Amino acid sequence: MKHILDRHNVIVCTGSGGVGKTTIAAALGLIAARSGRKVLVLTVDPARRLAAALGLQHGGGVIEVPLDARGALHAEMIEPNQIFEDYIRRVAPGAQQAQRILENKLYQQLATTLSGSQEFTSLLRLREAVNGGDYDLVVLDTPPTEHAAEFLEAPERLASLFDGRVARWLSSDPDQSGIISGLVRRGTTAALGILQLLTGKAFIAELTGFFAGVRSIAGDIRESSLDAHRLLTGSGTAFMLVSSLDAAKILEAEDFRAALGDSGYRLAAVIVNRAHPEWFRADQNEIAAGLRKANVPGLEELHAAMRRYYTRLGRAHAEFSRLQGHKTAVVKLAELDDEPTGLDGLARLAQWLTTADRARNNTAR
Amino acid sequence: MARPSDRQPEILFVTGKGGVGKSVVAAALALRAATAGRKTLLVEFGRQSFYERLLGLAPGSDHYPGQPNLLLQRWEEEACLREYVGHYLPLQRAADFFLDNKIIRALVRAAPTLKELALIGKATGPHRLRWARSDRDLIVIDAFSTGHFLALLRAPRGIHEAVPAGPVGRQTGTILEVLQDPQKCRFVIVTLAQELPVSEALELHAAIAAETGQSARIVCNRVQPRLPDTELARAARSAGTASASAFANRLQTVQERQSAWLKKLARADKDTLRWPQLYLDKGDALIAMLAKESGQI
Repeated sequence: MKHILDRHNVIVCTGSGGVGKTTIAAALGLIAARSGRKVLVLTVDPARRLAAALGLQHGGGVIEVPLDARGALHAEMIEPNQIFEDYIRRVAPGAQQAQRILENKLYQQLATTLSGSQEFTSLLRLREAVNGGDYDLVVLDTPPTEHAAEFLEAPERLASLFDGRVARWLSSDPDQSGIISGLVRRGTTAALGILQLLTGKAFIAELTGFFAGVRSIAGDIRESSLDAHRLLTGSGTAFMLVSSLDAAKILEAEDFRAALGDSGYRLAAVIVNRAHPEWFRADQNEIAAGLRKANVPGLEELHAAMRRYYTRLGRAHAEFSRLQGHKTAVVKLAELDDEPTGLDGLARLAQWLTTADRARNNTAR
Repeated sequence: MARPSDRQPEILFVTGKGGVGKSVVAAALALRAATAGRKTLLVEFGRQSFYERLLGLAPGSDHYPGQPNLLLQRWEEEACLREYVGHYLPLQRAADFFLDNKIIRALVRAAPTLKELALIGKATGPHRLRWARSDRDLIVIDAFSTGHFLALLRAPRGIHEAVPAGPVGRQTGTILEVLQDPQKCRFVIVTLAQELPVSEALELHAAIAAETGQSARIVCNRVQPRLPDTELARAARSAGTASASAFANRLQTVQERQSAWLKKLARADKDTLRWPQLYLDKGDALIAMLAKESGQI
C-alpha cells in the first residue's frame, strides 16, 4: 500500500455508499503524511465523528490535522453547491449572466439533486488543489453513489447538460442555420413543438431561460471536464476501490474494474473493508473448544454459523484476489471492534493498511 | 375473489443508506406478500439488474423463481419516459420520432430532474393515470439509497413549484398527492444497528416526513441474535480458552450497542422492525428465510 502512495500524487478512493470510503481515504492520507509527504484529503460528506476527529466543518476550508509526523496532513470538506456557484461566477461572461443562471428555478433544482454536479465539483476542486502545487499528494474521497462506476460517468453527464446544441435551439439563435441542415431543423422544430404540447408553455419558458443562461459557460464546462479526465488518466493518478465485497459486491467490483480499464484509468488496489470481525483472526477451533466448555445454550451454534459464513466469504475473497492477478493489490481489513472515527482509530486503521500485505494470506482457519 | 376495480396497488418505496441490505429486504417483503397470496411486483431501478445476479436468473427474467405471484421488473429512466410520451402522442411513430430527435435526446439527458420525474411518475402511475392501471395488489420498489432517493422524492415538488401551470404542473401535482397518501403509498427505511446507518436513517425519516407528511416504517436489518446477558457473561468467565472468552465478550458488547441504537430508532418509529442477521451467503436462501421469519410491514 505504501509504495502505491509513494508513487502517485493523486489517489482517488471510489466505491459504493456505506463501505467506509471516507475513513479509508483519511487513513491513506495519514500514512503518506507519516512518511514525510504533504497531503490534502478532500472529502464530500464525512461522518460526524470523523469530521470532528479531523477538525472539519462545513465552510471551514482547508484545515491542518495536528500530527506528530514528518509530513503534514490537511483536510477539507467539499461544498458542492458553493464550489459550483463560485465556478459559475468565475467563468460566466459577466456578473449579470452569472446571476441569471443562479436565479433560474431549474438551476436551483439541479444544484440540489445529484445529476453529476457533486462529482463535477469534486473534480474541479481536485484539479485546483493539484495545480496549486501546495501538496505532494491529494487524496479524493468520491461522493457516494449507488454503483462505483457512476463516478466515472458523472462529468460526462454534467457536460451534456451544457450541450451547446440544446441551448442554441431553445434560444433560437440566428446562427443555427449554418450548423444544422434544413431537414434536421424542420425535424427538431416539430419535436420541440411536441415537447411544448407535452410539457406546456411555462415549462418551456423556464427551460429556455436555463439553457440560454448556461450557454455562455458551456465551453468552459466541457474544457474543465476534459482537463479533469486528463488528470485522472495521467500517470500520477491511481484509483482505489473500497468495497465490502459480500457476494453481490464482488460482481460489482469486477464491473468497476472493467469500466476503469475501458476508460484508461488505473486501479491500483481493491481495499476490502470489514471483511470479517476481529475475532475471526483467532484460531476458530480454539474458540469452539472454549465455548463448548462454557456450555451456554445457543452460543456454540451461533459461533459455528458465524464461522461458516466468514469462511465462505473468505474463500470468495481469495477467488476474487486470484482473478485480479498482480496488477491490482487486494487488501483485506477486519471490521474493527470500534469504528475508527477518532485520530487513534485512524492510526490503527493506517497500521492495518500498511501491514495488510502480510496479512493477505492470513484468512480463515 | 376479484378486486374492486377502483382499488389500485399499494406502493412501497424501500430506501436507506448504501450497504445496509436494502435490496434483500425489498425482495423479502415482496416474497412474503406474494407467499401470502397478494399479487406482487418487485421493481429495481437502473441499467443493470441486481436481482438477476443475486438470484442467478437469466437476463430479462420477469418472474421470481418458485413464486408465481411475484413478478420482477427493472425500470430504466429513458424507457419510462418513452412509455409516458407514447401514451400522449397519437402514434408510436410520433413518439419515437420525438424521442429520437437529437436535440430532444440531448435535452432529456441534460434536463435537470427529468429522469427522476420519469421514475417517480411511473411508480405513482397506477393511482393517477388510466392507462397505467395495474393488476397487482402490491408494488415493492427497491429505490435508491438516501441521497439519490431524496432527490427522487423532491423532484415532483421542485418542478411543481418552478412550473405550477400546464401539463407538467398538473402531472407533478397528482404525483405529490399520491406520495402524501398512506392508503396509496408508503415508505420503508432499511438500516443497521450501528452509529452511521442509524443517524442517516433518522435524518431520512425526518426528511420523508417533511416531504410527504408520512411516517416511514424502519426495518433494522442484520440484528445479531440475542442471548441473555447473564449467559454471555457466564460464558466469558467459564470458557476454556482466552479466545473464546474474548468472543463471548465481543458478542455482549455488540448486543449492548445494538440495544442502544434500537432505542434511538424507536424514537422515530416505535414499531421499528428487527430483522435477524442470518449468516447466509446465498441470496435466494437469505431472501426466503427473511420472508419467512420477519415481521410484516
